[in-house]
Amino acid sequence: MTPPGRPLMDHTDQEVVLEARKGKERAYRELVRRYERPVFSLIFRMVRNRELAEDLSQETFIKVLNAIDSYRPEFKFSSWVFKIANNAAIDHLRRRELDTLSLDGSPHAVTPEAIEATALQISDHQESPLDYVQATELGGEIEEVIAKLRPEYRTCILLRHVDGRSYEEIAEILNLPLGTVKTYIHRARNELRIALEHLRQ
Amino acid sequence: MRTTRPHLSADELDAVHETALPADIRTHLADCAACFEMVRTDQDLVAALKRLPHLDPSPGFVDRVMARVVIPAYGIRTWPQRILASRRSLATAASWTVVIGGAMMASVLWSLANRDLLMGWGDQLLTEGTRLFWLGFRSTAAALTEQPWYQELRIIVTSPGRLAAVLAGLSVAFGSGVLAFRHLVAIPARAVRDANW
Repeated sequence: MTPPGRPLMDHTDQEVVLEARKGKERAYRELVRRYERPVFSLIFRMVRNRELAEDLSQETFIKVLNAIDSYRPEFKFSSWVFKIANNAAIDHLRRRELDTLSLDGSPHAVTPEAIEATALQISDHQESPLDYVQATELGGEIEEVIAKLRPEYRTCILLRHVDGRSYEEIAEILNLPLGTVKTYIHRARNELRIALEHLRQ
Repeated sequence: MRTTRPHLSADELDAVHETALPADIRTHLADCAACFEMVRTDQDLVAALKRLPHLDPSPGFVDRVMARVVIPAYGIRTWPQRILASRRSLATAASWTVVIGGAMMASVLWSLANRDLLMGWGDQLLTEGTRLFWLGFRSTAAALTEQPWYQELRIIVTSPGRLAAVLAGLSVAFGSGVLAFRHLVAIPARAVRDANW
């Protein structure tokens, strides 16, 4: 139950969800207000298109809010929202068969031969001029390099170092074992380090 | 390189960003230029990632989302659904059940233990009630017979034909009133334009 007398923005996510379940529109709006920026940022950095990111973010919130009665309070609300957001972005990337570039091959490859065999060549990244300009404006080269990571690495590195989520929460969001999440983040950082090496020189 | 310790593992590299470094790692970093360089680069990278801003969707995003969200009306939930909706509502319902049930039980027990007293109160109430009823009845009848229209009413009531005509007229007026009222309070079958202004 929500403590009386406090403004909605001071309530925890679980308390706001309880209010939303009572049919209070203010509570629905508060949940969107809390997560619109992180969700939009994550999806934008995944799909690299502002309009599309807006559509996918809207889709995410509509799914979340229309299914608010099925949310299980033993899980973090943020994990649930990010899980749906990530699924929306990944589904879109799969449908569009966007580039999934990696510098060091499949994350499942364990031997050097397998890594070499599964490594992809860097191809031209087909961004529109507008998207390119946005990318440069939105954080420059590092944004571009993140965009070249394979989607699994991208989600992990964004959730870990941009949103500050714990390894455990990322594992819950992505439905992956903790060890796999650590491996993805480690490999993503390696790729970013290599790709940004020229900046240091 | 003086250190004999192996280079930092992935987990140890992660720990550099999380916690204070154990002494052996600090010593190793002081001695191993390769690991030191890797940690420094990694720290720069993580710092750059943390500096990436959160981006805003275009204005009106919340309204666009809300336009497509269906908010169930809490009012149309049934009583069992309301009671089972949360732990608090369940606790409230249980508390009321205990209070009301307990009060009823106490009342029954007290009545059984004090039957004579209750009977005495009952007799007294019945006698007093009857007396007041007849007093009121007689007063009303006396006031009625004093009214100027009493004689005319009496003439109507004593003539069966006139009485039947008056009763029929009253029945028609009552029926028309009921039909008109039902029409006024009926929910429209179709949405009414501009009804929400």
